Amino acid sequence: MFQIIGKQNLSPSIKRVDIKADNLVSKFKPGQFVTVMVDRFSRNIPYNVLDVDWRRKCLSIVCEENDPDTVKMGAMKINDEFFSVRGPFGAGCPIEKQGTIVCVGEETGLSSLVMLCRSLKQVGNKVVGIAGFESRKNSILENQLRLNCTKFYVMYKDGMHERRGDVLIPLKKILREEPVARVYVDVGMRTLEDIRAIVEEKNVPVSANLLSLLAERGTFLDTSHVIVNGKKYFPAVEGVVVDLAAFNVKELVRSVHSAQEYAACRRREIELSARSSVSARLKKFIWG
Amino acid sequence: MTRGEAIENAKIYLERERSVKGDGCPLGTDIFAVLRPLAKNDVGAAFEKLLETNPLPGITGRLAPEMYAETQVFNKKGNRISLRAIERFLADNSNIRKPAERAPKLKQKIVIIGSGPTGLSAASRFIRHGYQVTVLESSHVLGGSLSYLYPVFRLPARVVESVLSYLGQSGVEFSTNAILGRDVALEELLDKDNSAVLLACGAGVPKSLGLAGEDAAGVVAVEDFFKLRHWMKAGIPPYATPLEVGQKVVIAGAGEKAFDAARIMVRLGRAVTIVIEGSESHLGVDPEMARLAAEEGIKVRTFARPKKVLADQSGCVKGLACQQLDYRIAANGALHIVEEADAEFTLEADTVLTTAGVEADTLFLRGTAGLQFGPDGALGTSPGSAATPVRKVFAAGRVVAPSLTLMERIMAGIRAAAEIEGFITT
Repeated sequence: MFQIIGKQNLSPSIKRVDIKADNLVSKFKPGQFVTVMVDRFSRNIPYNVLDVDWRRKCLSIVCEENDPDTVKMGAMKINDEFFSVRGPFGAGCPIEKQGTIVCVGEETGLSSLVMLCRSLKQVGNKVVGIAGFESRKNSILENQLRLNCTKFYVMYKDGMHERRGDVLIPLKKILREEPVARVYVDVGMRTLEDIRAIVEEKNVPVSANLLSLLAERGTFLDTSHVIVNGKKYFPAVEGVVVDLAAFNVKELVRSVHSAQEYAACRRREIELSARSSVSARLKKFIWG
Repeated sequence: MTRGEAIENAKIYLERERSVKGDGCPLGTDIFAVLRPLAKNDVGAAFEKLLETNPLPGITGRLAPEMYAETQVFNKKGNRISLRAIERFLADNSNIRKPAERAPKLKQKIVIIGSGPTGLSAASRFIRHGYQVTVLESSHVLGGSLSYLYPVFRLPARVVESVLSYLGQSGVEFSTNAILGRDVALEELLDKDNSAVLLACGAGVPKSLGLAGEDAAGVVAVEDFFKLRHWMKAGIPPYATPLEVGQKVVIAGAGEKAFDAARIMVRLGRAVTIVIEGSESHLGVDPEMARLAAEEGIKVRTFARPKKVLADQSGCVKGLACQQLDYRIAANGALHIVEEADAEFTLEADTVLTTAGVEADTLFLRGTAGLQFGPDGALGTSPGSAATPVRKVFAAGRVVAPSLTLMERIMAGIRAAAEIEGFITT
């Protein structure tokens, strides 16, 4: 049902997968996401949607191989089928003419920006894209973003190609040179805090895509929620693109760290019990 | 129950037919009409008769409370004859796996949203009456709450599978991963040539207890725990979803869900304590289940009210602070629960499971034009009817009243189906 109809190796560990999903594609808005199960044994993993092809009725996601499930996904071939693809989740980003909009992304975070940049540009905005990578070998989706932005900057931290530095350098330059209506970001937490500090000085609203952060919180269910500002926040309904002025990201980060610490504790317990059962079996073998 | 026992019990029951007053079945099953063929060793006919009023006998035979007749009937061994056990026997042992004979297919198409007890009972009635039925399920697993809310030792997966396969063979079309309000729009369903849409999406959104510190890592709603365990098979190799449950588990709240979760935890080797506000008569489960839970080593702390979830420096749960309660007997004999002054205690816990009830599963429907929602998210319908303000759209089950019991949900499905049939024919 959810057949792979196209696949690209963007880098050795990052793959683009085009999935046939007839019902989903017609309802998609930029900023929404899907959940994917590779097979019935795998976890339910949320993914940003890179692009939607209405003609071929397929959606594309970018998968980084960093655990057994994503490795399994990376190894899938064209014509293989996913067990489940559900969505679209989240509220999506409002697409309206605002003026100059800056979209900042790092590494796989760029996957949430391609569709957004295109939609914002189509309604008449000037879209400036900024992409940041560690090095040339991690570079992905450069061409897609270049096509969908009015102006595009690429930054490499190792400086081996094009401009050296992080995404903050061009962002500061743009904010200095022209009025910016909004900044969309999908970056790591450290960069997010830096961007927030820079942009708040200029009173420019910032919207951040927090899917990667929320995904680290544990298994995703439709009813999964976090308590932020004393209120229940349902990512599947309210979306993962949040306005940083109204959303307490620090509270969310703390909750994610607690969830990770909790999961690590449980893993340690399982390892210890496995070890003790092995040693018990060994003792029984030796002593009878 | 063996076939011999079932037949013998049926004969004994029929002998007392005149003296037995009512069978107490809320679905209105004429139990004597079911027992008559059974007494003649015709299990298939008895099952067919049962199916006329009860579309899910395998499930009600396991999960519904025992509806004893006003007059108790005992077998030769002196044990009370259980009608629920007979129902279960019929569901498990009838060889009817072929679709029931039914009227030729009608042209009218009906879409049911949700494959839980309400949706399945409505689908069963529609298909018996010859309608074309499509059931859309938002999850990747069919069965709704039947597929996740009950542990396998109470409701084996094969029972739900057999119901689904029976309906599937009868002509019901099932579709998973279809989320109404997301990839399926209500307007779209109405635009197609569907005669009616029945919303039976259930209530799967857990409420919170409202305790301080409830956002700590390790505090999980029982419903979410069941979904992880039964849908995602968390902690069962080779499934990849991890089961993140500590060694000491405290369950805040009474009721079947609390006891089911506790019994699963015990099977996973966890130490479990259930905290309830009332006495042992306020457990919210039948005495048999309470006895089984006690035998399995589940501790119940009565007269205790959870006050605060305690967390360590990293934000992980480390205990549950509770207020000790006491009771006073009022002049009219009523029991009043009161807080004991300065009597707080802490239960150590690595995981706290909460049961505070559920809200209607209308998270994705809220933007649908025309539908009305109550403050708790429940769908609004006309009084005494399943009709919503949107023409051709009906709603029934827990999406309308989140606190319905299993039997009430089945009844709601049957009633809504009858109302829809009336709507279509007029």
